[in-house]
Order: sequence, then structure tokens, then C-alpha cells
Amino acid sequence: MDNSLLTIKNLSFSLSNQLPIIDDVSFVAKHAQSIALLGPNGAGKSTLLKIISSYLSQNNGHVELGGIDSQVQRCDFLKMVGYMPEVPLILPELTVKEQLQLVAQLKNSQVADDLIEQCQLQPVVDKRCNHLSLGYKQRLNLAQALLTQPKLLIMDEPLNGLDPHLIVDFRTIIQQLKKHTIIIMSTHYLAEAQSVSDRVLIMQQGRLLDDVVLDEDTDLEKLYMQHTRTGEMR
Amino acid sequence: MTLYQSELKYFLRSPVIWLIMSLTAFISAWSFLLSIELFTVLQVKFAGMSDAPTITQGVIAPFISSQAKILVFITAIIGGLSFARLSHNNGWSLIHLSYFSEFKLVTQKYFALLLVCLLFILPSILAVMSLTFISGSQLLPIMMMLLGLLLLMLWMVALTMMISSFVNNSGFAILLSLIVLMALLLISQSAIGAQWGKNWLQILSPFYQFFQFSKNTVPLASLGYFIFGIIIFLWVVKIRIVHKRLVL
Repeated sequence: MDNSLLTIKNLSFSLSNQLPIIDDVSFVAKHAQSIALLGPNGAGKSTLLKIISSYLSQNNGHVELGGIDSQVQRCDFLKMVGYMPEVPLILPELTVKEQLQLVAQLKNSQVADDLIEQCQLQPVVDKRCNHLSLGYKQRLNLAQALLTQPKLLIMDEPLNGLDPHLIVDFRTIIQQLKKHTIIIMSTHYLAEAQSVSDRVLIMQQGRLLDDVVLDEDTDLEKLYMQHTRTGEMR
Repeated sequence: MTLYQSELKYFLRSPVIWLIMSLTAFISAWSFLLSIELFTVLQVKFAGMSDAPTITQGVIAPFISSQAKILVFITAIIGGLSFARLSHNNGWSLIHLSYFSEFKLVTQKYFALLLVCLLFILPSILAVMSLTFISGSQLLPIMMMLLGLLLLMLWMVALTMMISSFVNNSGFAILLSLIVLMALLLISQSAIGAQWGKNWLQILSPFYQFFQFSKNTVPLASLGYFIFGIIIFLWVVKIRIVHKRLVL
């Protein structure tokens, strides 16, 4: 078994007596692969990412990373996964350093100085989290996800609300990380998806519509529009 | 930094908590001094009575009883904020990313809340102890009452924490906790059906069980009531955390 292979198999999720939010999603991701998850609002992207990161429990299907099932061996699975939620996990009463220490303790890990450097958090390390700008909140969010040096990094709309400079900074960080980590990132920015991802998954109404390996000739905008207007499975 | 320390920081860095703490300390100190003054004035009349109330019966017991009522408000606020506030800042993610067992998280939060609540009533406990030593009163009944007060606090914090875990709004969690605790307080004082014998509804109230500690022996049934209640409430919070992973 490849110890860094992510396998998603027949994943489904619905709230009782309601339409499925995630409907039979399956795909496989290899080591050092960067995947962008695209789809309109309400397509089920965030829910899918929450299930893959084991924050939510699925109704059916399996998520396995290196042969470790997210439900059966949840603790072992969590050690290999870094999850960056859409809304930054910020405890306003704590400083950046304290928050990182808390998350590290909960993840049974340590805060490495180079992580603070990597996420460019040095200027605000002793500042209260509620005084941070959105850019720094997102960097803190990322630093928390990277605390355990995960094999799988899941980012839910990490570029939301960032200015162009921060987007460039983020792109650089992602480019560095993708060398040794599987990255799954949901986004609405097609240009960013194309620049940092090797592969794109398009979702609508909880279903996976398409799975495209990107190359220089791929017209992502056309592909996305085509799928999300018709909602047809390829 | 543990969850316990982070919880303490949340409460101790909040100006509102300090404001409430000062208000409750002021009310407690005022009622304590007033009752001593009243007891001193009445002592002249007590001199001629064969079964005159002692300082324990006249001042200390009513004061500890009033602390139990003040604790209703304190535990509703502290316990109500514990989990309900997590919905505002994505704090549930913090709970879900933990590698530890849910029960360990619950107990860490619980002990932090207890410490904060204890800080609220600490001046009153110190005042009671000082008066006991100065007046040379019997220590045992007072220690029993303080044990009852402590158990009542443990029980109420566990209950309000459980209520908070079911609610997504801090204000509503505090209100709901207040309503439940006030209802339990009212039940304990109810005399409905007393003419037909024991009021079984009253026994359900933690305040009734607390009053059982005003005797010189340990009421084992009340002790069991408090301990089992705490375990059950904390267990429900644990189940609630697990359940949260099954819903959006």
C-alpha cells in the first residue's frame, strides 16, 4: 500500500430525510498532487472537505490515507491531515503564539519556529487574535493546519477576501508545500486554481461532474462554465 | 497551552466577568455585614431566651444559603458561555481537531469553569471561615454546609455546560440555564402536596439536596445525587461532541 495515497470511495452525506449533500463521490489522489475543487455556491465543496478531513462523519463510503480509514482509526488519520477551514479558527482572547500552542497541544505536537517564519507570522506573534487583519488570520489558519507536517492538506477557500499581494504570498507557500504534500483546495478563483493545481475536480449538487488533469492547453473557464451551466456528468 | 488554560484565559481576560465578580462580591459582603449587624442588635433579646439561635444558625447558615442562590446566576453565565460561544468563532473545529478523547476535553473545560466559579465565592468562604474562628463556633456543621455548597456548584456547572453544548447562541444558553436553575430553586421551596407526605418533586431539586447538608452527618443520598448528576451531565456533553461531527 502506498503510504501517501488518498482514496475517497463512494462518499455520501445527507441530513435525515433530505436530499444528499454529497452524492457518491469517489476519487484518488497521489503524493505531491495538488487538486482544486471547483463548483458553484452550495455545490457541497466545503462539506466534502470537512468529511475528508474527518470533521464530519459521512453516511456512506470511505476516506483512506495510506490505508488508514478516517472513521476506524480517526486519531491516526487526524495526525496526517491538516485542515484549514473557510472561517479561520480564531480564539479572540488568545495571542497568535498562545493559539498555536493550544492547537499544537491538542494535536500532540510542538510549535516550530520555522512554521511561524514560513507563514510569515513573526510581526504579530504576540498580538491578540481578534486584532489581526484577515490576511494574518488566514496565515494563522494555515499555520494551524501545518502544525503536524501533514501528508494531506485541505484548504477551504483559502484565498477568500485576500488582497493580490497576499494571494501571491499564498501561491508561493502552496507551491512550496505541494512538493511533499497532497493538497486539496476549494476555490472560486479559476486563475489561481490553474496556477497552483495539477488537477481540477468540478462539483455540482453534491456530485462530482468532472475530474481533469490540467495542462497548458486546458481552458478551465470554458470547462467550468460548460459543466456548471448544464450540470451534466461527463 | 492546554484547553484548560485557554478556557481560564477566556474568562479571566474578559472585563464583563470581572464586573460580575465585583458585583457579586459587593452583594455578598453587604448581606454578610448586614446579617452580622442584625445579629448583634438582636443579641440583647436573645439573652433571655433558652433556645436562642447561635451565630451559625443566625448568620452563617443563611449566608451560605444566599451564596447558593447567587451561584445560580454565576454558574448560568459561566457554564452557559462554555460551549455555546464556540459557534461564533468556529471554535467547534478546535474541539474536533483534537487527538484527545472527548471526555478529556470535557473535563479540561469543566475544571476551568469550576475554578472560575470558585473564584466568585472564595471571598465569601473566607469570610465564613474567619467568622467561625473568631466566634469559636462548631466547625463541623459549617464544613458540612460548605461541602454542600461546593457539590451544588459542581452539579450546576455540569448542568449549565450540558445546556450550553446544545445551544448555538451564548445569550440563549445563559437564559436557558437561568430558567432551568430558577425552576429547580422554586421546586425546592415548594410546599405543594406537603400535607400528603413527602413532596417527591422537591427531591429532584439540587437545592433540596444542598439543604440536607445542614446536618452534622453526611447525607449519603444527597452525595450520590450530586455525584451521579455530575457524571451524567458530563457524559451527555461528551456524546454531544461526538454527535456534532454528524451534523453540519
